[in-house]
Amino acid sequence: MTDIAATVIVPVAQIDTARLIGGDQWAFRRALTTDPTGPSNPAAEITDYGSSGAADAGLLALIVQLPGVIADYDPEHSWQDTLAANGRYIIAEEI
Amino acid sequence: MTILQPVLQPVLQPLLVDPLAPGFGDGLTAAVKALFASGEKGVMFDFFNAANLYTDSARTALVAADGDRIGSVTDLSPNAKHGSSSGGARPTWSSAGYGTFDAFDDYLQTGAIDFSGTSNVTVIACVRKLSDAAIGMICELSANAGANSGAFFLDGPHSAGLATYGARGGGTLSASLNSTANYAAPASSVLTLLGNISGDSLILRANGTQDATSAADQGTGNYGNYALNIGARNAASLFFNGRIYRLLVIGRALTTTERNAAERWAAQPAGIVIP
Repeated sequence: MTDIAATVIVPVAQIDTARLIGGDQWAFRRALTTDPTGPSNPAAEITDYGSSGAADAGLLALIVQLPGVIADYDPEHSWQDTLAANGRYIIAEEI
Repeated sequence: MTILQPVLQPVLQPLLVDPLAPGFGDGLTAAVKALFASGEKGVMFDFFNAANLYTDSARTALVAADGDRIGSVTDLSPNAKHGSSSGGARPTWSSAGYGTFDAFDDYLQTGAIDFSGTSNVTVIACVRKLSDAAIGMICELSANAGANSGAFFLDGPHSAGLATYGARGGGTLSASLNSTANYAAPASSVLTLLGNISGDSLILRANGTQDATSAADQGTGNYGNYALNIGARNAASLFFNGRIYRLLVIGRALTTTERNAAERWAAQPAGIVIP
């Protein structure tokens, strides 16, 4: 297994398949939205899920073939950079 | 270089001891390990020492270079409740002596720790909070300490946009508190949570000084038998944005001498001087 670092965004419509492929490597735990109010709005609609970090490259090669998946491999990019470049936002979380 | 006994020289130690020198902090590390000598439940995590950190949850390869991911952190207590994660959710190791949690999806999680024999807990964490934008869980016993009896958490910030730390803990009821002082990110801090269910006491200390306290009713019962989550709530939300250097969780109250030694142990990698 070879790891690759990336930030990956998967549309809701593909998330079950992506999680099935990704297993514990690419788990897509982070809910995302295209709603700019998301960072302060816990009720924002979930449009995508994301993973960011280093994990299995072979599995990611399969995941990126799903429709609408965005993968950013630039080591200079943080997950914030990737979200900003693609109009995605985190959704506020409350205790 | 002569290594001073950190217990005897807490003020001079950050100035005179090379933190990368072999043996750095060994005296305090041994003293903190000894806190578990009577079979106390809990964990002791040290992100400063690469020998404690593996890149995979199967614990087959030690971290070796900056940027390696931490798949498992060794529990230095006798309880062997190692903290694990996998894939993209692994925090990033720095050879400067900490794990960085990316505020997106990084976390570590232990197996269940059985605190059911005690209504006292002490949590000591050395962290560097990198952002106050969103609530971040430093550590939490159970999937949700607000919903589960016999649980606790330590978080930072405690409210989105505020420069605080916070804590919650209790039995059938729980108390919560916000730090009274502000610790605007980036802020390096040694945080201590002292929880006592039967005594209805929840105390937050920061950098060796008491910061906040709550005497709210914590109900009845002891702490529970739950997984300890580090850097997130149940691996799913409230992802911490910052570094963790060292973390001690032990199921008993410490004496003042023990607590001071443990806080100094936690503080060492970040160069924080505990009075």
